[in-house]
Amino acid sequence: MTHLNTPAGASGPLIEATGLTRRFGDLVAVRGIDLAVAPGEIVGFLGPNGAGKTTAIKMLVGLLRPTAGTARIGGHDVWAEPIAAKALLGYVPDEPHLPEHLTAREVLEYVAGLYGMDARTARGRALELLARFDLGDRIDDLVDGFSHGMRQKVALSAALLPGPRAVFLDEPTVGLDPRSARTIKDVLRELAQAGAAVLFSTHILEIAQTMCDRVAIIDNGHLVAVGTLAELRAKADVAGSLEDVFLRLTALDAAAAAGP
Amino acid sequence: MTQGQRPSPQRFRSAQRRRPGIAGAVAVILRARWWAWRRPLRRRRVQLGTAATVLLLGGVGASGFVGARAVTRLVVDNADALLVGMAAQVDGPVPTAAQMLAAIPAAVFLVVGVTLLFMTFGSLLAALYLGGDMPRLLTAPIPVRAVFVAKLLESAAVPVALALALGLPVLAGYAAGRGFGPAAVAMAALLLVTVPLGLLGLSALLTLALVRVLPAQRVNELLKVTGTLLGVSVWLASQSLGMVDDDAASPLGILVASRWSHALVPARWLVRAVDAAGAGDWTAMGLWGAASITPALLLLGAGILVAERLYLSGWARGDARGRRTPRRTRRFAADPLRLLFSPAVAAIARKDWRVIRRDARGFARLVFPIVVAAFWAWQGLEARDEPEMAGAGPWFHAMAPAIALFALGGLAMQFSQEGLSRDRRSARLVLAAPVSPIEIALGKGLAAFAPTVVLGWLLVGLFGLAAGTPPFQVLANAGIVAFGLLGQTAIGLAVGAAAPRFDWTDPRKIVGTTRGCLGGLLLLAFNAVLFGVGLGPLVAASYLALPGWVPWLGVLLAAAVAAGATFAAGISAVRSFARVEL
Repeated sequence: MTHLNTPAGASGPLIEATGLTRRFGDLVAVRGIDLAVAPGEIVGFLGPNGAGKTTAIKMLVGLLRPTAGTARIGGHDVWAEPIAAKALLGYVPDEPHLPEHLTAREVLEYVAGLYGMDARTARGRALELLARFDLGDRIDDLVDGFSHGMRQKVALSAALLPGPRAVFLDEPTVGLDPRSARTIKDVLRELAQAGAAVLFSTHILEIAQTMCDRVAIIDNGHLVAVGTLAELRAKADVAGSLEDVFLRLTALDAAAAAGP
Repeated sequence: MTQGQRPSPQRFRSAQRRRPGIAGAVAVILRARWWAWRRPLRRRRVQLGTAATVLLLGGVGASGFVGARAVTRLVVDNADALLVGMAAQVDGPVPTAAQMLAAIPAAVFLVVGVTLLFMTFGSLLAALYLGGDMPRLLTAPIPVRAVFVAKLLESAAVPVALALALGLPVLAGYAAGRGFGPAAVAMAALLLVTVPLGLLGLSALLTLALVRVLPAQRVNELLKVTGTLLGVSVWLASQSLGMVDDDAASPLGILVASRWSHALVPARWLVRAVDAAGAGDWTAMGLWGAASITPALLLLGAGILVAERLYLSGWARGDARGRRTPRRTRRFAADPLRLLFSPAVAAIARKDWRVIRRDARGFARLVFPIVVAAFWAWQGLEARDEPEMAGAGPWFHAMAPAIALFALGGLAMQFSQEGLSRDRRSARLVLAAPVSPIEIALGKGLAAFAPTVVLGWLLVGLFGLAAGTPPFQVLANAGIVAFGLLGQTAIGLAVGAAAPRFDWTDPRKIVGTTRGCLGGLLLLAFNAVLFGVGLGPLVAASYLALPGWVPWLGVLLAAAVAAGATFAAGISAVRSFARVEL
C-alpha cells in the first residue's frame, strides 16, 4: 500500500522550519517557528483557532512565501529549490477543493501528470487508494456531486498518489466517517513506518495523543512547546491527558501575552 | 398516566421569545444584506468605481433624455412629411402620427421589460437557490415566505434601479418633447418600478417551476447558454438590419417600432397611461395605469403565494445533483500530448480542456466568436463579385486571418486570462506540485491557444477553399493566425497571472474589472500593431507597384511582432506564476 517516491537516504529531518515567519500587513500570523520532523516520525500540530497552524503549513508546502526564515523539505528550500522540494511532499488542505467537472479518476490522472508519473503506476495506485477509501465504485463519477467527506477522500488519495516522503495534512479527519478516519490513521502509520515524515494539524486531541510521536503546540503565531507527551506534561506540570496539557500550556501562553 | 398509555412526547417550549413575523423577518434579512453591501463602499477603490458608474449612468441617462426629446420633437414637428416619405417607400399600411409617437416609449418599455425579464431570472435563480446563506435562512424559525420575499426584493433592487436610471430619462425626454408636465414623468416612474416587480413575479414562477424539474445549477448553466444564443441572435439580427438599404432603413425601423404600439401589446397600455397623465385625462390614466399595474402585482402576488409550498421543496431537491457520470468513461491512458510536452504541461492542458468542454458556460463562450467569424467570412465571400472589390485580390485573401484574429482573439485571451483562476482553490494541486512556473504558463497557454488556433485554421482553410486562395497564401494565413493567437494568448496569460483570483463564485468575476479592461486595451493595441505592420507592406505594394516579395515582408514583420509580444508576455506570466500565493 505505502509507496514512497524516493528511497530514504539522508539522515537529517525531512521537514524543517527555521525561524519561519509570516506577516499579513501589521498582523504577524506566524513568528519564528523552528520545527523539524525526522523520517518515520509523526508530529501533531495543535493550536487554538487562528493560532497560525494553516499559515505555517502553507509556508512549509510552498503555497505562502515566508516573510522571514526558511522551510526545507528533504534538505531543499521550498522557495529556492521548489521542484526538488515539492517532488517529496504531499499536502491535504483543510478544505478539499478539487477541480470541477472532473471525475475522481480524472482528478487523480491530473495529479499523476503533475508529478510525472507513468500511466500504469498511476492507475495501480489510484485504484488501490480509492478502493481503500471506499470510492472504488464512484471512480468515474464527477466530483461536483460528491459530499464533503468523499471530496476529502479524493483529496487524500491525490496527496498520497505520488508516494510523498513528507506528508502535510491540515485537519485530515474533518468530515470523514469513522471507518475512513480509521483508514487515515492506518495510512499515516504505514507511511511513517516506511520512512515518511508526517505533520498534521488537528483539533481532536485524542487522535494526536494516540498517533503522534511528538506534538507541537502553536498559539498566537509562535510555538509554545514541542515534544513527546511526557516532555509536554513535564513542561506544563500537569499529569493528565494531552487535553489537560494543551489547555494548561495555551493558558500560560495567553497569560504571558497579556503581561503582568 | 395509566398503564399502557403512551407518554405524550415532551414539547420543548420554543416560543417563549417573540419571533418575528414575515415583515420583521424580511427586514432582518435585508438589513444584513445592506450591511454586507455597504461595507466595501468604505474602500477608496470601490468608492471611485461607484462614482465612475454613477457618472456613466448619468451621462447615458442625459443622452437618453436629450435624444428622446429631440426625436419626439422631430416626429411632432414633421409628422406629415415623414408619413408621406414612408408611404412612398413601404408597401402596406402606414402608421398614424400618434402611433409613431407612441413607438418611442413603447420601445423603451419593451426593451426594459425583455432585458429585465432575462436579468431578473438569472439573479433570482442565484439568490433563491444558489446563495450560500440559504441553509441558514431555511432552517431559521422564520416563515419560508419571508425568505422568499426578502430574496425577491434583494433581486429587484438592481433591475429597478437600472430601469429607473436608464429608462426614466428617455421617458422624461419623450414627455418633454410632447410638452407634458411632471404628472407624465411621475406615471412613467411608477410604471418603471411596478413593471420590474411584475416581471420579477413572473421570473419567480418560472424559476420555482423549472427548479422542480432540473437542479438549480443545471438551470443556471442552461441560462448562460440561452443568454449566449440570445446574444448571438440579437447580433445576427442587428447585422441583417444593417444590410437593408440605408434609405429605407430609417422609415422601416420606425414602422417596425410603431408595430410595438399596437393596442394589444402591453407596452402600449403603459404608453397610454403616460400619455393620459401628460394630457391630464385622469380617468384614462387610471384605466390604463390599472391595466398595466394590476397584472404586474398579480404576478408578484402569485409568486409570493405559491412560494410557501414550492420554494422549500424545490430548494431541497434543487441542490441534489445526483450521480453524474460523463458519457465516455476512460482508463488511465498514456497521454499523446506527452510526446510534445512535459507530463505536467500535458496534464494541465488536458484538465483545462475537460473543464471548459463540460462547463456549459465555458462551452457557450465558443459559440459567439464562431458565429461572428462565420458571418463575416460569408459576407466577405458574398461581396467578392461586387464591382468595388475588383482589384482587391491581395486584400481579399488577407481577410481570413484578419477575421480569425479579431473574432477568436478575444476568446484566446479570455481563456488564457482566466488561467490559474479557473482552478479556484484547487489551484493548490498545481502550486504544491513539483511543477515549474514555465510549465504552468505552457499548460495554461496551451489550453487557451490550441482550441482557438484550430478554429482559426479551420476558418482560414474553408475560406481559402471557397475563395480560391492560392495554397501558399493559405499557409501564410495559417501562420499569421497561429502567431497572432499566440501573442494574444500570451498577453492574456500575463494579465491574468499578475493577479489571479481564487475565491470567485460568479464566473463573470473570474477576472477583475481592472484586469479585464487592461487585457482588452492590450489586445486592442497588439491587434493594431500586428495589422499595421502586417498589412502596411501589402497596402504599399498595392499602390506603389512594389516587387512581389514586399507583401511577404509584412507577414514576416507581423510574425516578429507576435513572437516578441509572446516572449515578453510569456516572461511576465512566468514571473507572476512564480510569485503566486494561495
